[in-house]
Amino acid sequence: MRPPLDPRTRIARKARRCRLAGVLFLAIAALAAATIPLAGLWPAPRIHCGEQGCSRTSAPAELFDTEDAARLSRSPADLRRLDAYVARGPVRLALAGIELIDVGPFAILMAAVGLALRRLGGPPTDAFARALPWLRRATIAAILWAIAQPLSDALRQMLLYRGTSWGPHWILPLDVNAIVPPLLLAIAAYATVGALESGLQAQRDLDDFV
Amino acid sequence: MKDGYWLPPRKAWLCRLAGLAFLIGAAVMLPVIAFAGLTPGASPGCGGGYGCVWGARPVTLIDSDERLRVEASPAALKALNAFAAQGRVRWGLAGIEAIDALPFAALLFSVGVALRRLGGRGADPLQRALLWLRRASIAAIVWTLAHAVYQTALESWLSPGTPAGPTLYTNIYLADIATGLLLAIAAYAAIWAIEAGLRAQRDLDDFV
Repeated sequence: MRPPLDPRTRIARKARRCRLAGVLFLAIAALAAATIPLAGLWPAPRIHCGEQGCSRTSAPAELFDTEDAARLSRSPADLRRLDAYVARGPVRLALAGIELIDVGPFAILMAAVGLALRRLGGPPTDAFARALPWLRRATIAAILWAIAQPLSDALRQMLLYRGTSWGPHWILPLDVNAIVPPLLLAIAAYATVGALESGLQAQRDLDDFV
Repeated sequence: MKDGYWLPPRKAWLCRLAGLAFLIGAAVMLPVIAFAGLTPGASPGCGGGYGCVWGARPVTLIDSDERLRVEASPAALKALNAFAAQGRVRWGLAGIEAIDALPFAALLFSVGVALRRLGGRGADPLQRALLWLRRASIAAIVWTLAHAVYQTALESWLSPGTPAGPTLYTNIYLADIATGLLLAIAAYAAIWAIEAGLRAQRDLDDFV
């Protein structure tokens, strides 16, 4: 049996692990941000495995939902037209811009969690006071992310409709199954951080009072 | 005031109310599992040429190119509907839904209990809430992984009713799994760090 560690050593170790995890999340945020231009370079990456083994495809038709993809697959002329449309520079730029709406909040979320972990691993005296605002920003980014997901999907399809024979269409992102669970969880996270903040604030006020 | 953590009364009440909403959300998952067996693929969504109806549409559960083949031929669609109408298949569909819905229900339940604790009185609500929050983030990790299993199981289970015949599909959307896992792990890390920070503060207080 190892002798019990000095509490200070244990705390210092945990703090270091916390800061390390923070760096990790900051790195993930940087990686996520780096994928934004990729959406313009390699649209619709997908790995599908079935009887024929695994294959990596990049068909822009897969950016449509299943019913439209079915209609597209029945008309090879439309598929070729879409491929040609997606090959154009401004369209790729727009695809990358839509990816920014999609991935941007996620990158901010990861960066905010990373910074919060760095603060929590800092000097313990005011760690919470400095970390919780970052956690709150993370949960706001999570709420934005939950909304941006279906929104960016709709924008992407509206853009790609212009590359087909159907012409421009309006799409309302109203898929309840896709919006509600992430939004619910993001709001729960926001409420929790808010409760932590005001609870710790109340404690601090009481401590000051005593 | 070691154990005196509680919220101002109004905020505490809101917190308990939000917690109750999440507990109800967790309870709703049980009928969701039942309906996955009763009306497979039904969704309250309107449009797509189907109108606003609540009926079984098992074809919507298929996610691969096979769905396009089924939708292209009325005979295949009829065959799939007949296949999904069998009792044995419906039990299976409900069971597969449970793979996805139970971890999600556990997640909602844990968040609900944590919010109730945060809004509660008694000794050290924060520590008891963090315990439930950690459970919630573990449920989130499980849910993300279970979702990939769910997709695979669902499509393979329905495959005997499609023109392709029994097939083991492994539809893995790496981007979705990675995103979900990262979010769940981020939540876990943040909760772990808060717990560690509180303990450090307490240890230091004891030490001094």
